[in-house]
Amino acid sequence: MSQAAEQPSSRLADVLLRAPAAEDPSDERWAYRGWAALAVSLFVLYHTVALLQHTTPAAGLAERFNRKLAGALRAGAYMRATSSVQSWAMFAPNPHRTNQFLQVRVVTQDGEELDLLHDIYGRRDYPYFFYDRMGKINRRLIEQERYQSPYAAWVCREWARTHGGEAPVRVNFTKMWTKVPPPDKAIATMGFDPFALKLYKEPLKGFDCATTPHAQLPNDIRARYGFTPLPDGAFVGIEENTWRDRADAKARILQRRRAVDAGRGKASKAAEGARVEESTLPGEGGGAEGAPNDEPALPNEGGNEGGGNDGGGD
Amino acid sequence: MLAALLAPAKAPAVDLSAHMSLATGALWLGFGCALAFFLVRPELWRRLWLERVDPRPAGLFRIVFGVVVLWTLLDLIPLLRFLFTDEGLWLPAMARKNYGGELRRLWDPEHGFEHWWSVVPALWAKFSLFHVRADPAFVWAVFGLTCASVTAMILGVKTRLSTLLSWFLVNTFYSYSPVFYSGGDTVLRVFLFLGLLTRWGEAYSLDAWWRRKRELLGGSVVVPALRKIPAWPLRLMMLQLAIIYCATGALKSGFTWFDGTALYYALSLDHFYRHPVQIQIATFLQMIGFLPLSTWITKAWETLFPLALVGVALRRFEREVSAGTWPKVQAWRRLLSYALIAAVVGVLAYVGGLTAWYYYSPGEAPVPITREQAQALVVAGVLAFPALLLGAYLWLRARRPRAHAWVLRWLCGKRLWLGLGVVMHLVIDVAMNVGTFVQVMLAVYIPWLSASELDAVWRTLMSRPLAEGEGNRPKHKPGWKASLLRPLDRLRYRGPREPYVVHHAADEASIRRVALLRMWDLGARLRFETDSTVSAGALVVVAPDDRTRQAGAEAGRALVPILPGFWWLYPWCLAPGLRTLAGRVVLRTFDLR
Repeated sequence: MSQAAEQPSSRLADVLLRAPAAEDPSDERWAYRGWAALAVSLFVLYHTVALLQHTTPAAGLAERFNRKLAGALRAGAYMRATSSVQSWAMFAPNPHRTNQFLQVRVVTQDGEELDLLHDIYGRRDYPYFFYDRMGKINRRLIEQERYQSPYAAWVCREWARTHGGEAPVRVNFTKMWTKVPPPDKAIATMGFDPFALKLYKEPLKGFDCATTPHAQLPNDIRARYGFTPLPDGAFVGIEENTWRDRADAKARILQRRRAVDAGRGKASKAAEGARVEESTLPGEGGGAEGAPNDEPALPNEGGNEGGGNDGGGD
Repeated sequence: MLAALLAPAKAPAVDLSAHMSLATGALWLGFGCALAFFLVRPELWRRLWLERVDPRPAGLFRIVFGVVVLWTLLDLIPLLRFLFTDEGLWLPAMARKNYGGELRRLWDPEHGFEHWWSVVPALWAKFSLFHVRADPAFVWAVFGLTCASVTAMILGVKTRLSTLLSWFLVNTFYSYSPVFYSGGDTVLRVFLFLGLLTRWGEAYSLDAWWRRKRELLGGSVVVPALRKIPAWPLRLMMLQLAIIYCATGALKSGFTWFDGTALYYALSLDHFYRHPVQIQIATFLQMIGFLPLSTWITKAWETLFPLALVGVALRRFEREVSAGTWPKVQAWRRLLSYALIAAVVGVLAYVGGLTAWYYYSPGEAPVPITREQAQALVVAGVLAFPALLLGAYLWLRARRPRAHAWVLRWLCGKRLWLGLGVVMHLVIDVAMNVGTFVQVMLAVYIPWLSASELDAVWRTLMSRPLAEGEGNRPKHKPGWKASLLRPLDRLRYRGPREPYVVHHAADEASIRRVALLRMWDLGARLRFETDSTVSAGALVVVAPDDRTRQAGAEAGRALVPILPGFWWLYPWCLAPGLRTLAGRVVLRTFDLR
């Protein structure tokens, strides 16, 4: 390589390989200007206030202010939409002082009652390395009773899924707990054996697999495993109240009203004659007009519209 | 709003109606004053939120946080069928009814959405794809897609898009039902949304690498710089962390946090301890007073954590004042802003005083004072505390510069508040199994770091401990004291390691390719030398501990320990067959041979 060619390369090497790293060439200190700055500022302000409102207890004399602020900002909807709903009551107001477990037992068609070993009492392997969420879920079933029915329903379904489609009869729960000795007692014995503590037991409400909602393995899952379908009416569903359900309900109400109006009209006709009938019908509006003919169309066309308006207003 | 914290969490029902309207009006006034403060002092608002900052802390946060998200997802694999499929805990209809938000009204299993635009309000509320379909094949497919998008986010591939997709898909799992939530999951959800707002792909990402590589190989005359990013999402992350700690500290209002037994109970719970033998250790630590002290420190540290934010602001103020860049404003604006702050404190004092009047029970109190006296005490306290704090700070600043510096560096410093947090979370992780809570909490400390602090971290990682007597490291007389101090000194007194020398050809293309290495050399361990014996596009590396000239794949492999972006290849280098492959991967990245 000639000396002339080497010199520019050497300069380039100095700049690229030895000079201090370059800074962002833009010397603009602020990220935004004008309308963009205003828009970002408003968003930051909104998020900050919504966050503070959401995480501050709405209690005492601040309750009304907190509620009004939340309403004005629609803070709850915003926190849900951004998945920012939060509560930080960890070990608060006190850590638990009892170890709680929910024993889950199933009563089979043969009348046998089996412990499904869902609780961790005396069953955890130590050292406890891999996080076991089932332990937390098991404890949560006691703390928040609303989970017990869906959990029992799952036990029924799962049993059916793993036993040829045959559901058990019932799921029984027993709350079990041990009390952590207070420090002065533990210090007297220099600690304690957690499995030697007295185990308290309290039977909780059980759930029948035939009558508990969703406790029956539904036919689409039965089909996956080649099980025979459930008999008609055996699956206990839940009321969902979707837009379609509301539209159907509205259609039924309309139908009943029209039937009542029609009956009233006939009675009026018989009693007062055609002149009176003409003066009462317009007051009911167009909805009454042609009601008998509209009925089949409601689910597809008119029903959709009616349901839409109804749903949007809810 | 903070006044609400003064009201006891589980207070007896008290009729507050006589003062409710007044208190509400006062709080609105305080809220208005707080907003007006920033209208009067917009330059402070700009400094607080609208600055551009170095993207490296955000980039590192993306990687570490993303790994924790992926880890948390992978942890869910054993429970995927149970938690999310229609063969698990919930049939979709039940999950939809209980947790489906607007979807339960807007979507029908047979007829679909009510209108085409119903998708928008359904998405706006809590939304999970599994509320619509939850057969195992679908759930596994979504899980695979989620892991793939989080991986893309970690690597920084199409970062904005992969972050958006990750946020949506991760929330598909979290929105299905809350039955499995732990504290760590909540932190993860909240920060993933803030990550969505952050331009965290501008550093330590393949997106940034590809851009800079294109520019450098395309003729740039400098190593292309990283682009600065808006600071506000990172500041929101700092605020969020302060809220988490302050809220959890304030809510720890039970007697165990005051009598010092809370940690003893927490460490003795079957659901958390790693091994039952720990109970004996916890009992011993309780007996010697270590756990009671730790309990009180934990509560105080959590509740007062916002002081770390105050510290960040104060240090910034002092730095700018010394540099002469702090904005000068008209006296009327300054005085008005002080008056607005005073009004906010006044409102808090008023509402706090009323709260004391209503909730104070003279019969149950340790000190025999009347309600009116309690009210006066609270009002005086809320008014005097900030005034005393401010006065003390100004006095230290004017009269005691060393104490003032100590307050800034330690009392309000990151090393105290974040350092204590790191220790606390590491102890939690050793003693208790709380899933990925510890990992996610440590990850969210990263946005608190500045670029220079991050640089110092890389430099320390790549440095070596100085020998005793070398440089400024003191030489201690042999003995127990020296033994105790040695590990600390090794951390404290460090010097640069010998550089790795990269020999390259003199042609422009080779120089440009070799210059790409600088973008990965975070600890500044490379030195470059033009070498006429090296062919164009090739590379020869001389490592400090091995003076032989490494060429080809061996040269690439030799660079792995000093380029953090390739540390993931390190295990490969230990396997004989994969060693060469790892070296080639490094060289291919820079289009070198």
